[in-house]
Parts: sequence; C-alpha cells; structure tokens
Amino acid sequence: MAPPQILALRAGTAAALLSLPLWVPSLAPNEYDGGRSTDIAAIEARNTSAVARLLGEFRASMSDMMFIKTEKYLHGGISYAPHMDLDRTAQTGELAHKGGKPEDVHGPHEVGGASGMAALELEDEEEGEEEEHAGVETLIPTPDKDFRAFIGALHREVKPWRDPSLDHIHDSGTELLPWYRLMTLSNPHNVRGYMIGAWWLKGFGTDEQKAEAVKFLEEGLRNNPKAFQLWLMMGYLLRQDGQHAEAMEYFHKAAELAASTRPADGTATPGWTDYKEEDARAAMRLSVLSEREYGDPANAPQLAAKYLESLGEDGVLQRALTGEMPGGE
Amino acid sequence: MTAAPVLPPARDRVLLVGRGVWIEIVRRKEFYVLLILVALFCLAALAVSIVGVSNPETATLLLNMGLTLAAGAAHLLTLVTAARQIPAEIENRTLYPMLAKPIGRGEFFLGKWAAVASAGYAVFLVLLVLVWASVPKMESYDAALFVQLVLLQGVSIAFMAAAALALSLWMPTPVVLVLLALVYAFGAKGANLLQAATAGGALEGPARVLAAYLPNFSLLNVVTRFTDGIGALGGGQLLGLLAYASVWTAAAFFAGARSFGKRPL
Amino acid sequence: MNAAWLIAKSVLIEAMRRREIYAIVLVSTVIIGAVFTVDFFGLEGIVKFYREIALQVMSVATSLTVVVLAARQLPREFENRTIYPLLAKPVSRARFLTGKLLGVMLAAAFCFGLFMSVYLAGALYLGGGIPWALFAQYVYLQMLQFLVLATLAFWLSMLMNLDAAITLGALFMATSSVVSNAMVFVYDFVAPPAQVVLRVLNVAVPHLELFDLSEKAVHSELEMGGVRQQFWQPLGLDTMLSLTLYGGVFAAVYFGCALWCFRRRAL
Repeated sequence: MAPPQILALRAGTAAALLSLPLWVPSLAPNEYDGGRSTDIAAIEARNTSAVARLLGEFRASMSDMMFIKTEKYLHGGISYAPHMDLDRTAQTGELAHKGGKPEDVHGPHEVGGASGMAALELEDEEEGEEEEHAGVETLIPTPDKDFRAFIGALHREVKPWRDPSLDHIHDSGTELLPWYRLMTLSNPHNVRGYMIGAWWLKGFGTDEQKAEAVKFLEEGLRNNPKAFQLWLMMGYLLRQDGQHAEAMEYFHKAAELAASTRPADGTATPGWTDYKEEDARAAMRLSVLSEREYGDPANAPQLAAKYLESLGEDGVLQRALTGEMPGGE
Repeated sequence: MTAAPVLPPARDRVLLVGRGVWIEIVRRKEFYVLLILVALFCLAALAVSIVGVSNPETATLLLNMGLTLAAGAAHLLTLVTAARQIPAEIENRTLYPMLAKPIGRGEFFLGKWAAVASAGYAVFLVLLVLVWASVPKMESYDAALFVQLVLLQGVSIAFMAAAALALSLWMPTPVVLVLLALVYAFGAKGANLLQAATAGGALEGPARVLAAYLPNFSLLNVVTRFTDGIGALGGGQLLGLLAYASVWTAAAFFAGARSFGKRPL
Repeated sequence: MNAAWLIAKSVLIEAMRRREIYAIVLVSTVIIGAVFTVDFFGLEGIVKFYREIALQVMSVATSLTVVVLAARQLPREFENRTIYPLLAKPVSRARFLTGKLLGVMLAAAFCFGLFMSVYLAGALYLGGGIPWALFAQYVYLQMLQFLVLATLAFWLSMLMNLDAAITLGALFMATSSVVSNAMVFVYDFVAPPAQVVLRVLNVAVPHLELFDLSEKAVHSELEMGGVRQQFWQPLGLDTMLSLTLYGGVFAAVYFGCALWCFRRRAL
C-alpha cells in the first residue's frame, strides 16, 4: 500500500486529468494578433534571403513552409528561388510572378485562365513591371555552377529539375488546397491561407465549391474577425453570386475595419503592404458604391466623405461624393 | 537479536539512482551526441556568418529555427534515453542487483525520470546558449517571455521523459520512439484536425473533449511567439501551462511507476 | 553463407516476434488516416497531398526503424552475452555481421513492403493513377537508403553508446539534405582552402536526398492543355546504376568500418 501522500497525489492527478477538457481549451499561448511569422512582407523578406536559400526547403513554421511549397507545387515540383507574388495571389487569386509581365499572370486553375476580381475592376492605373521570369535560378544549380560534379548530375536527375533558362512549367494550385486547409487548421490566424484557399476554391466554378469557399471564409472570419481583407473577399464572393444586399454588409464591415487599421498616410510599412493599401481602398470604394446601388443612396455621399477623410485622395470616392459617377458595377 | 538494517532516507535513494543514470550517461559517452550537436550548430553558425545576414527578418528566422532545433534535439535525446532506460536494464539483467539494494521500485522509477529529464534539460540549456550566442539579434524580443520559454521547455522535457519511461513498459522501444516523436511533432495538429473533422456534426462535442486529452507539446513551446516579438504570457496562462505539463507528467509518471511496481521481474 | 542466412532469419523473426514493425506501420497508418478524416472541401482527384504526406511519413518511419534495429544488434549481443556461444561456432565475424545486415534489410523490406501496400491501396482508392515505373524506382532507391543507414548504424553502435548511436543516426537522416544544400550554397562564398574541404566533404558524406525520388513521384503528372499527363519520366538505367554504385560504396565503407571495430572489440 502506497503512503497516504502518494495516494493523495495520485487522486489529485486523476481529478486534474478528468478536468482537462474544462480548462485546456482556454490555454492559448500561441494565439495572438499579428506577429512576424504571419506578416506577408516579413515572410517574403526572410524566405528570399541568401541564408534562407542555405536552408533549402527546411523551415520550422508552417507559413514559411507553405511559402516554399506553393512555389514548388505551382512549378511541377521544381524548386526555384522564390519569385511568386503570393501577396497578389492572396489578393486576386491569380498566380503571378514578382514584377512579372501581364502575360505571366495565370488564373487559379490553368495557365492563362480566368483572371482576378473586383479589386482589379476598380483599379484605375498601373500594371506590373515587366521582367522575363524564365531565368530565375533553380535551388539545385546548373552544371556550370555546381562544384559537385557527378553528385550534382545525379541530384538533377533524381529531383524535379529543369534548366532555368527554359520557360517555367506551371501546374494548378488546386492540389495545394489540402495544404492550405492544414495551414489554417494549424494556425487559424493565417489570414492569407484563408484568402488563397478561398480564391482557388471559387475558381472551380461549381456551386458546391463556391459554397465551400464561403464556408471556408466564414471560418476565417470567426477566427480573425478583425481581418478586413476576409470581409472584403466574402463581399466579392457574395456579390458575384448576385447576393448584393448581403455583400454590401460585408463591404461596410471591411471598410470600417480598413479605415481603423490603416496607417495615417497609407504608406507601406512592414505590417501594411501596398496590397493591403489597395484592398483597403477597394473596401471603402465598394462600401460606398454598394450603398448607393443597393442600400440608401442618400447615405453614399456621407460614407464617401468619411472614407475620403481617411484616404486623403481617391478619384472614385471623389466622384461618388459629387454624384458624378455612374453605376458602381 | 539483530538490529534492523538502517535505510538511507528516500530522497538519498532516489538521488542514488539518479546519480547512477548520470554516471552512465557520462561513462557510456552519451554526451558524444551533445558534442556532435554542438559541432553541427557551430558549423551552421559558420555557414551563416559566411553568407551574411542581410535583413532583420532573416536574423529572426534563424533565431526561430535555432531555438526550435534546440528544443527538438533536447526532446529527441530525452525520448531516446528515457525509452531505453528500463527495457535495457531488464534485458541486461542489471535491474535485479539494483532492486536487491534497499531501493523501492517507485524510487527507482523516480530516480530514472529525474536523471533523464535533468540531462535532457541540460542539453537544451547548452544548445540554447549556443544558439543565442551565434545568431544576431536584429529585432526586439520580450525578455520576460524568454524566461517563460526556458521554463516551459523544462516542464515539456520532464513530460517527455515521464511519457517515454511509462510507454516503454507497455510497448517496444521503436514504437515508443516513433509514437512520441510523432506526438511531439504533430500532436497539436492532430487535435485541430480532430475538431475540424467533426465540426458541425454530432461528434463535435466528444471530439472537443478527446482533443483536450491529446498530449500537446506545442502548447508548451512559445518559440514562435517569442520570435514574433509578442509580449510575455499573463500569469494565468503561464500557471495554466505549468499545471497542464504537471498533470500530464504526473499522470504518465504514476501510470508508469504503478505498472513498473506490479511487473513480475 | 548458410550461417549468415540463419543469423539473418533470427533477426527478422525477432523483429516480427516483438511486433514492433506491425505497431509502427499501424501507428503511422492511423496518423495518415487521421489526416484524411478532414474534409478537404469535398474535392476529388486531389492526389499530390496524399502522395506527399504518405510517402514522407512512411519513409521517415521505416528509416527510423532501420536505424534503431541496426544500432541495437551488436550492443545487445554483447550485453546479453549471446555473442560468445555464437562466435564459438565456426562463424567468422564478417559472416556474423553480414547475417545481421541481411536480417535488418529483410526487416526493412518487410516494414516498407507493408507501408507500400497501404500506400498503393490508398492511391488506388483516391484515383489519379500510379506512375508505376517511377514508383518502383522510388522503392528501390529507398531500400538503398536503408542499406546505407543500416551499415552506418552498425558502425555508430560500435563507436558509442546505443542511445547516442540511435540519436546520431536519426539526426543524420533528418539533416542530410539540409547539410548538402548548405554545402552547395556556401561554396561560392568561401576561400579556396575551404572549397577544398567542401569538395572532400561532398564526396565523403552520403547525400541521402539522392535516394529520394518521392518528389518526382508526387509531381509526376502536370495539367497540360487541360489534360493531366505524365511529365516526369522514370530515371534512365545509367542513372539507376550510378545510384546503386553510389549507395553500394557507402554501405561497403560503413560495413567495413563496423567490421573493423567489431574485430578489434575484445570478447
């Protein structure tokens, strides 16, 4: 028979073990807003650095791992030096290369497929810088740059590898969807995971997958209620589905959140990228335009004035304020 | 009439077993692993210094990976050492002379656990110092959270030691190694998957309960929170996490000790 | 050779009697199965994810099993003193070690064979086709990797304590490709004397990533013109022979080192 102190300890442990479901769910040391691990600009900066290439595909965080994996899946398994613009993919669903030509922008399901969404519809300027994307280095070097002789040659045979001077091959991103699902499960605050996943789901074009995209975004919103880009994206999806009144509510919420989180001058900072600025602008414009079309037209100029105060200048809002603009669609 | 033998106090008997394990670790050159790990870290640091750290984000990436690897290597070493302790003693028949001494089985088990856990933690601390010294710190990090990180890794390693010792009594060593390595790496994801798989269905409630019973080493790992530049945990959260690790460690320990105590030798 | 075969059989029988392999296969399969209980948006024909997860888990689990099985063979014989009656018989140490290696490789083949059966069943169920030639080459190259790991574990177990040998073997397995990658990248940054060191290391350290064809197997098909077609073709015979030679040389060197240590060990 064990001593009474040991028996008491055992009983205490058993009781504590039984009570785990009551208090363990409240333990969340790794749930917090922001942080460098999910910041898009920081992910890009660290994963494209020379040291990151030293590590190959070895990463400790799921966000970093997905950054590398996405590039790889989209190029048929070939490991190139990171050059995809995943920020743009999150924003528009397009597969684009950093500083690539417009023809280097691909739809979510096939090369040259359907292009992105409303943020682009409302764009009034600029296209990407032009740069040929064939020539991006592969992580396994070419024979003339590889000191490993026969081992290098075997490495190029065994792994998916293609001469970097040739055009890149592209595969659809839909095979990545389970990975993005896992990423959002392992880190429910990874907003970009929800955005890219929802775009690719929507890109299937079937009602079933559109419904899945909406469900996925709803989950994203439950986990990240302050992420204005998720509200905006949900608005896009609903608007495309003809649910204009519901979409308007999401645009309003996105605009409110964007206005409250946007830096005063809107310039790019580590936490506020140009893409976020573009999305914030789109959210405010769509909030005003949908209010005029599907809500109370009398409210639209007030909203426009409010957001102009935040943005400073914006042609679309200016015209909405003065009533010059025709329909918002 | 002969006098009853005078037993040393229980604490001394546990220390005796623990010291035996530590002596074994040194005598059997287990620290070779640590030396090689140190050499690997130094090589990595050398490679990084050659290439150069171009921006603060990269420095943070290195710090994150270094701390993650230090924690992972210490857990791996703890796991391998703990999982083999008792099966090796039984196989080599070195357990019998040990238990013939005035040492209870519970004390023997406690001594093994304490020694393996402290050795694992010592490895973690050595690697931590190496990582900290070799990686440039170019962004801000919370000092209080760092202390919490070191503390939580200690209880996490103690939990790993208890779990491996206990499981090694019920299943073969390779299975213990693979099972606990997978739990360490994917335990948290498993809990998330379980809940996602049952979300909205009739099994959602039971799954939530079951998920709470999946050992989750990730809860005790705040490396990413630290390198993310987030502040220290609140007192309640920290206490909760310490309690979480203690409950699991105690449960594994008592289950293992009980099974070991009843085992026919 | 009969004695070596008998020793090999005893290793395999012991591994199966302990039910370790079944348990590892079961645990890994349950984990892979658990991942697939998640509803991935009701999508069909998504195969790369399954291939990647399954092949990685199966390869890592088998490699770990091989390291543990191989590392413990010799120390256990010494500790249990079962080696003395064995070596008192007319069995040379070389033959004894060959038998042990054969046994570990048979156990590895059994374990990986079970895994591959599970993998194929899952792949056929999910659809998407199986690139058979690539798959067969993948299995063969993995077996070569297990051979290198087993001989390395033999050698390590002669040099150091068992736990240390297992930990180092596992660490080597986990970090091999990162180290290789780092060597390639650092080369251009270092001075000529260091480049000589890297050249020596490049040849002296086995590149385990050369035995991993899983990426080509995972990404074997691409969507071209709206149709999925096989893009990555199986390796040529010359490449397969070179890889066999490459793995064989390392296995022979490690086996020779293990044997040398084994022969020097006083009984």
